[in-house]
Amino acid sequence: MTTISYIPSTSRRQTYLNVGHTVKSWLLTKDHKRIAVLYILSITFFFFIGGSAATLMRLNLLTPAGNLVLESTYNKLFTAHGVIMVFFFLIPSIPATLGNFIIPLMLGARDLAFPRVNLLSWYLYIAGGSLAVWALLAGGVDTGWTFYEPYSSTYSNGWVALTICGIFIAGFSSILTGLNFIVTTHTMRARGLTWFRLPLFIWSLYATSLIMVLGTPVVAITLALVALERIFGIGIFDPSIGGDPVLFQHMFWFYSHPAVYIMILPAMGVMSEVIACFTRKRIFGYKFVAFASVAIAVLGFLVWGHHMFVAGQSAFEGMVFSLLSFLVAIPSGVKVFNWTGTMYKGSIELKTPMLYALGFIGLFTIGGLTGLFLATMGADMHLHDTYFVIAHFHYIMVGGAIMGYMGGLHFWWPKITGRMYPEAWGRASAVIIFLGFNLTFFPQYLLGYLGMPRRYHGYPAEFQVLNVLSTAGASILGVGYLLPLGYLLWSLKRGALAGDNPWNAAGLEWTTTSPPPSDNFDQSPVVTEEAYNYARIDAELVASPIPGAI
Amino acid sequence: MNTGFQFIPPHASAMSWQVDWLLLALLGLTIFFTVLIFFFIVLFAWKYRARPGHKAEQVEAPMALEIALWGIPFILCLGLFWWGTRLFLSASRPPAGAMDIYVIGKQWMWKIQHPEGRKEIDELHVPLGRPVRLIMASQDVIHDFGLPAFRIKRDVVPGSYSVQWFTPTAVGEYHLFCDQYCGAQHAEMIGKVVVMEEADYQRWVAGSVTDGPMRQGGEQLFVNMNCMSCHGQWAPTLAGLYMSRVRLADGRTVQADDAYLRRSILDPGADIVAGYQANQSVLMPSFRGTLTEEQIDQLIEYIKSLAPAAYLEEPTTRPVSNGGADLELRKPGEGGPPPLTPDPNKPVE
Amino acid sequence: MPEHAQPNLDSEPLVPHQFDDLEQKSLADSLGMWTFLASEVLFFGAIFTVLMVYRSLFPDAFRQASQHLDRRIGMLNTFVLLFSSYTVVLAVHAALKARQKALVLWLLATIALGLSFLGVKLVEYAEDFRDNLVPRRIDFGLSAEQSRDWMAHSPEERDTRPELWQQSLRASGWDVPADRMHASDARLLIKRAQLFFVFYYTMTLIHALHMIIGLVIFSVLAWRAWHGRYTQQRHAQIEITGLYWHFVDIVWIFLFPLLYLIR
Repeated sequence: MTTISYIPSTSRRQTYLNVGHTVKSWLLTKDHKRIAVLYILSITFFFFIGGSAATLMRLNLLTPAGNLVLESTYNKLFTAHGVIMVFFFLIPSIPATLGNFIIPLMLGARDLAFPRVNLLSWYLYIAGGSLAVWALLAGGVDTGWTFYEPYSSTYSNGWVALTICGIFIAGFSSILTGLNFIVTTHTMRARGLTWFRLPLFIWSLYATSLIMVLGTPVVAITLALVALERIFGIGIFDPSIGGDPVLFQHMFWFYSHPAVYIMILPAMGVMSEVIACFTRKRIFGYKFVAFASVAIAVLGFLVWGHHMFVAGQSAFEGMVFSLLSFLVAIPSGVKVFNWTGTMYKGSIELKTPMLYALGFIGLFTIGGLTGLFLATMGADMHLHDTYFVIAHFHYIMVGGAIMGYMGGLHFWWPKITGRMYPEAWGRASAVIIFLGFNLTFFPQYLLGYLGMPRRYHGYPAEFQVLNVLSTAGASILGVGYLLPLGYLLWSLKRGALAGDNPWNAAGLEWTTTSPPPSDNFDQSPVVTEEAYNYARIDAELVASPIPGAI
Repeated sequence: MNTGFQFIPPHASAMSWQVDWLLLALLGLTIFFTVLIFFFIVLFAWKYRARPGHKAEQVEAPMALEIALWGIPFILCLGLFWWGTRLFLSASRPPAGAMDIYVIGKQWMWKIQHPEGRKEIDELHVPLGRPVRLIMASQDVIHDFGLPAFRIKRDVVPGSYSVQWFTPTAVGEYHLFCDQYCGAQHAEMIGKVVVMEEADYQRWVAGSVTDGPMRQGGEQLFVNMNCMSCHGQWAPTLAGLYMSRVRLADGRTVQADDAYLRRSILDPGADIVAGYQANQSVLMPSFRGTLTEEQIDQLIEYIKSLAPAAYLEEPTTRPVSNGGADLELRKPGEGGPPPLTPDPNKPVE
Repeated sequence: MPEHAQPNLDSEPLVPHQFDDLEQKSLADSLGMWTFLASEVLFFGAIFTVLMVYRSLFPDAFRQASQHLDRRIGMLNTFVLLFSSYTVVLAVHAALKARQKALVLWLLATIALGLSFLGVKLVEYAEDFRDNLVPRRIDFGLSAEQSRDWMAHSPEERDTRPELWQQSLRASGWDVPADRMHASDARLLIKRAQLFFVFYYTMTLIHALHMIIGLVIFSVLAWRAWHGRYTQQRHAQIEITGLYWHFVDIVWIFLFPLLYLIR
């Protein structure tokens, strides 16, 4: 029997939040929970910078002439949007925030294996992000987040090397976070917590960590070579001496494709937690979902060439990558089926996290299936580098990853802060985000099919209607993101006090107080049951209902 | 071009219809699974909503279902893979007898050169019904020659040729977009493909004053760059070379296509013909940095004009002027000219 | 050994609070270092891959450039590093046996060997600079003497008579064509050879940086060992730093043939 304490928390108790109030106690903390909060604040900051760039881009695209900003400015905007959103928001997002906070709690541990390394991770992230912002303020960079050669080394007139330094340093943040998670998961599980009793969130983050540790170094070196080219004026990927610009693409995408699985796997992990809780059921096909996570991580390293079907690689290479890309879609599909199957004969409550989860399933399904369009070589030769690709990856990264993040943030908000967010606002925002998102990005599928290329500041007149619809959607989406910023901050002071387990959820993190004490558990938990034993939890609830539980 | 709102881009080739069928199948699959998932989510969210007296039932996932959930998508994926690959391969292999047109991309314009001599900027005139093979190079960064109405595109990479082809089946004007970000005026690197009736095209291509057909310029270069001082004597003859099979010094046998000709001019040391491993004083010098992309195209056109037919389906033998070490695929009963042994120690004049 | 400075081992708990026991901590430390080394394998592997691709694209230029490196210095350094891995093994062994003096001795020996490696490397770089094996120099690849002679010509003469340059290159040990007609080939070869040296400096500098970090850590460990910090129970730091050092050694084992021994 796990040690469960159903005592509602009081604010006079010592928690990780009030154990020290000085700036030093926060900036020199070794507590994974405080580091997670530091990350939440920082990634929110970067999200709004990246989002502002997107806002200006969408406004510029209201007219075919696209001259709201200078064309060179537009090029810097889409680069800033990509660099910041990929490297400084999406890659760290769930792992560094929810992962950092929840993993030790879920494992029944007092902290991660290497707390000081964890703090170092955050400082590296801040250092890298500062360099990127400095580059932005100094005039920006216009290569696109993909830094294709030889444009980025020889022809671009921006702060390429500086931006690359920022990304390079932030890359080490990612590697160290992954390292910490891997070691903690292997060595610090509570007694009785075997691998197949682990919550699926842990499986997902474990798979994510494998990618972070093994993939990031490759892009670090690749971009470092570009920076070297710029600084020292020697062509490495320079065609004028017979060098190969396509080699850059191979090296770049070797990381950057697995990177997208860094972005989506944690969100999938959140999905499993939220759906199990709000259907009151164990996840349908637990082992299959666990293995699917690892399969996605492994296969994800083998498909990078699907970005390069028309880039100059041979048709044979293309065929190999196309086939493997189809294969990597299958475990993702299996997860969607399993989450849907979990809802069967469940007892479903459409709280905010569940709304985000259902939105995730729908949007990830669409995004994933449109990925098949791009994996199909005969279709990709039409759709490559058009707005279809943009729509596809935004469905996955925004409709998928960000909705996963928002769902997880709301799900664990009471645990992190000790407060409940206002449920009506939560649900309304989830719906607004869902609707705004679809209006923004669905027209982009059509634009891509019609042939509108990516990274164009202006376009032929016949594309205007769809662009206007997209921008209209973006404004709604923007509102949808600002609302949580507002009510979540509000809830810190005025939200209802949350009990230890407002959702009656399974998982060791819910057996301690909200917010937890610095050392997480008063007594180290012992685990004797499977991950989502809602049958037992609900039976006990019926037998002895908890006063004041939501 | 139609500037009004449209759902479907025009169809300018048979390939465009084939791609659309594939896209339609993909769309059907997407709609099917999306609707399926949405349906079940909505159904379950309603039917199993939490309410007093309703309890969740822990259901085991039957193994058969799990296998089906992996197996059925796998089979569908294989089918799509096969279909898409076949289509891509046929779009990558120009048919015999295609007319060649040269494209050079540079920041931020497309320079198009017809072999007959006519040049154009940001526009590509082609005749109806004949396959066109685009031989493309870049002068600076990576560009992409994108043709939505034909449903094809190909990156144009500095340092090598890329090739794509299409057969126009409808007269009209169609978008041309640069589909690989290339700098400040990437969005302005657009133009149009103009498909004309054959007779109109012939008139058009003979139209304005030009520098003459490309091969003439190529021949001029051949003389001016002193190519003739070696080729035709102790260097491999170029007559009949194009699209023949060539044995190389390292044992490989390759086809002398456009990419081979280009490589031979820019990096002669890369593919030395068997029998010609000479010392460096008679090795062909590299012309990298000496010739512009236009000049390389002209030279290649000239060399192609030395072959009996522009694009041959069968490999041919060709007369050689050296030791027979590189002779390839002699047809039965055919002899060859007496070999002339090159003297690697003979100084270059 | 200072006797008054008894280490206050209580202020640094044997088992940090996040771990349940020493065994868990050791396992975590070990797995942590192995995971970090896995990422390093990919890090070096990426640049090795690019090097190998260009080696196959430019075989002649890379072979010639490689021959201009001083193989004997490279061999010497290889032995120095291998020997330092041995002293690390001895240090770890001493730590396991809690033999403090031996531990300090072997750590200092490792540091000395590591510093020798870096010293030799500096000497080698100085030689490379003296031989103008520095990318982007207009007299790249020319020996000091040949460079003097060639640079003595006016810039105009150097531009219009490339065969002078080609002959100087030949006199400096490069197999480039000597005649004017093949000037562009010589230029191309030299440009590609310069690319080789970009890889050479980048890879050896990254390796050296890893060594410097290792030596700094070993210095800290040696100081602590001197002050009796390491006991039979507390020696994880020695072990995992030792593991790191072995990795740095293995990287060099790959680096050396790939850069110095291209045929």
